[in-house]
Amino acid sequence: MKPPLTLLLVAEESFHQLEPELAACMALLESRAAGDELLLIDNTGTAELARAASARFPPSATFEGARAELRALARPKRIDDCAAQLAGVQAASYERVLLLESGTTLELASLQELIAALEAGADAASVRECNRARHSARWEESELVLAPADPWNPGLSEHCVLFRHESFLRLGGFDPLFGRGGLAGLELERRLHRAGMQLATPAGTRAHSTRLPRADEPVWRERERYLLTWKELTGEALWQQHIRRLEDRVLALSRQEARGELLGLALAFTVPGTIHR
Amino acid sequence: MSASKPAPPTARALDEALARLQALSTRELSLQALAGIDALAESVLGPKARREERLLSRIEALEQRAQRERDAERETSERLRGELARELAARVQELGASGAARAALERELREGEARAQLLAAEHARLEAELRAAARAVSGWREKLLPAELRAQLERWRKENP
Repeated sequence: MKPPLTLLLVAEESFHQLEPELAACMALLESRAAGDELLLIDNTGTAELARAASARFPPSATFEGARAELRALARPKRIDDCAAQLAGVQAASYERVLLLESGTTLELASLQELIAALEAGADAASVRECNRARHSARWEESELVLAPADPWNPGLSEHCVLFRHESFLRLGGFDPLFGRGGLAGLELERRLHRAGMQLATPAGTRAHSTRLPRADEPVWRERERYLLTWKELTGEALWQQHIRRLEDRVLALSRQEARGELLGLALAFTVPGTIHR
Repeated sequence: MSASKPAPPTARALDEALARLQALSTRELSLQALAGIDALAESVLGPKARREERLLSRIEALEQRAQRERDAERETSERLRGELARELAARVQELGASGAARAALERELREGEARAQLLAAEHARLEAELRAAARAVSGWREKLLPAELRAQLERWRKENP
């Protein structure tokens, strides 16, 4: 018997926009015939999405016919996506939770590979191929610099990842400071490895995101690169070196009129009280 | 980083922040970033990490670095000067050795030339002696020839001048 899973979707859009995606997710789970759950977190703050989705995909009339079910939970107040997602994982019925970003599609064969990776002992399994860019990070003196992800081991995709329920909760989920710059997956992956957990990216698994990247994504990515650096930077000497490097960079960027990078750095400071030792 | 998580900015707050920053000139944006760095330095390094102190410490660090560079330059200069002096000494020595060899050769040459001149003079003297001896022998031979043969020789000389 196949162990069931929870597919978690956090949504803020209208039901009209979301309905095709819900139908595709239900079809994916029904094709598994494992009694899976599609858990929809309505983060509109109005509960209208949850009501409409429950009406469109009602529970099966008989137990035998329940190949997959939709469960909708409405947040009484709109909260950030990461907190809504964490709340969803806490409410999930099953040990395996597939986190699918709204607008992302996954085929059954890829889902089965992700499940197999978790059964083999991984704490999380993410798709190897995705049409959205992923990055790796390495330390260069006192700051993290980004590079394209290794295609054979591209790391955790925030668009599509299957987690063990407990592992995700232990990590505390995605950090809400990340997201627009596309480094949320990288940030969680680094914490996952530091916690001694295992991430699998099985060959042949792929997902497709229909969301177009924002035009200002590089600016947000630069901001997230700084936030990631500051989250992981330790030691007074390194901090002093980093601060000096930042000052030098601002002066150099100012001379070069490199506004994009200056914006990324200035944006990183827009979070009051973010940085603490 | 502390474990306490401050409330993250909302999407709207981030959009507003970006719009506000985009409206700034590059200079204003740079000043904003420098102010942010100041705040960051103070939050992670404590109140002592103010810009002035950081700048002072940087100036001190730069001065120390400049001093180190000057010391290194002086050491290099002295080392190079020593190497050059040693090289020059070796060269002078080498040149000295060459000069002695040349002098010996010149001396040999001069002696050779003198010997050659002596030989040439000796050769000339011997030639002159030989010519004189040949003349003397020739005269004696003619004197010693019989009258008939002397008459034949006179004829032959006239016919073959």
